Amino acid sequence: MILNQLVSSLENLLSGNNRLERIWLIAKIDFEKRYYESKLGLFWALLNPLFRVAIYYFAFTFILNRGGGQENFALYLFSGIITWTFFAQTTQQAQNLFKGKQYMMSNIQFAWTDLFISLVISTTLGFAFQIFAFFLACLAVGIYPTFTVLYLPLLLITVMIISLGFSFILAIVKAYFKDLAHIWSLVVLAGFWSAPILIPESIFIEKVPWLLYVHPVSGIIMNMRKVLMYGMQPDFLMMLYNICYGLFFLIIGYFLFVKYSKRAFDNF
Amino acid sequence: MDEDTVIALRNVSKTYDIKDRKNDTIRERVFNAFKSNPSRKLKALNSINLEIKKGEFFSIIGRNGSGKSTMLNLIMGALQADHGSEITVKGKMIKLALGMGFNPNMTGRENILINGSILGLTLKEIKSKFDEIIAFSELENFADTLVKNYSSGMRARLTFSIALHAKADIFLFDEFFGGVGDLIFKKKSEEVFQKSLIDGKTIVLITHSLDVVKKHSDRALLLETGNPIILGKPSEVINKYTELAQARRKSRQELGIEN
Repeated sequence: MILNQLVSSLENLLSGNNRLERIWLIAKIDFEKRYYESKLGLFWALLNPLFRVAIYYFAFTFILNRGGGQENFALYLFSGIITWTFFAQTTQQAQNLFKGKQYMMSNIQFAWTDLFISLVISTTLGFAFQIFAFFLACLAVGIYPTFTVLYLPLLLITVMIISLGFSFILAIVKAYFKDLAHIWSLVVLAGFWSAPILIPESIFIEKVPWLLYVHPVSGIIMNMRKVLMYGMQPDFLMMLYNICYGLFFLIIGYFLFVKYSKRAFDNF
Repeated sequence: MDEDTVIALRNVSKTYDIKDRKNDTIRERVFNAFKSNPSRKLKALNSINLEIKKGEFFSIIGRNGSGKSTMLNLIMGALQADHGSEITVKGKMIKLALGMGFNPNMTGRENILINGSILGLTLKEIKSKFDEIIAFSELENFADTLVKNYSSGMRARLTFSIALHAKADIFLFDEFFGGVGDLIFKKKSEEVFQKSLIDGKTIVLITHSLDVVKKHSDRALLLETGNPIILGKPSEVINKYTELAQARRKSRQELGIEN
């Protein structure tokens, strides 16, 4: 109900601006297609991360007897998983964008970049829902949000920029290399295990500090936990670095897209 | 470019690179890095020069594979023309092809919303025109049915209806009336071609129906293997087309391919 009210007020805000309306409309319908087709609906957006949290928690805490060093290990996992999933899911779906949206792109004139923005927004809708569940879980174990939660939008925007940049690049590369999806799924796997998602942050920083600057969302995951769970100020320098990292890939991706997107259909 | 020219093609060519061996996975690129991969150039369009004026009804005819659809895709911007080609378009375009422009996994309603929005209508405008669009396409009972369950006639009606109610200035028809088989709709569409609905709008039509070309177009172009053969009055272009077809049939008869 609150969600419906939010949506309708957002639509009022956008009304009149055709381009923003369009981006929103495509994002919304894509999101609905993904989750509302089934009875459980939005619950699916939660099921996947929760299930993974449960598995890793079980494996690490009960079997390997690790994770004890981390307080609230389940929440530690949850925050890392949903942030990484944002990036992984967006970049995986971006590769199918040309094929999936060809029916629009080759018949009606509009800025094709809008589709990518819609894609990121559609992922954000799922993320918003997951973050909501995260807050509920925090309250349940007695972690109360402090004012540092206000940094969350900034961190979210950074993830969005990074995902958008990679999405442009991957969609174009996919047109030339059909087996990109297989390789990218390996990259996603490597990215998951090389981030401070399961690895305790202290060990991560001690062993592989340079990975923080290479991995797309490691720094953001750590900042997320700082502002959401620990009530601390984020690492501002890291935040700035992440934004620059995102803008760098966004600019490269955008120019690649402008240069090669029209040629992409030759290859289908 | 003249004030009232809406589509201008200058020296437009399109070459497809057809590789004998498909080399479009990373695995193949790596393993075949040092092997040669001969490619053939297929010239789909050969230096087309053309200006279409605002409000003009322009037809393109030619055999299958003569480059008609490639030309529309180039105008549309869905394909990249060869280096040195110049394509200028003024105004909002929509391409109408059978069954295209829709996501089959969405309902008619969702497709109307998205396509209308892409064509420049605000949500408010779409909602106010929604009933009209549905009524024109005679889909009153199917607005919330998935488009994949529509018949091809239903899809054609819906595409056409959205395009008419949106703010498109240029309509590109790609064999839109071929195969619809729905006589009533055919008649309706022909009415549309004559009436004020398309007044001031530019139409580029690809069709095999020479009757439609003769009846409605202002000018026509005949393409043959990517080359412009004749551009001019519809009757002259159609004559040339049938002449070529007859010549072809004759030469085939002489060779004994056809009896």
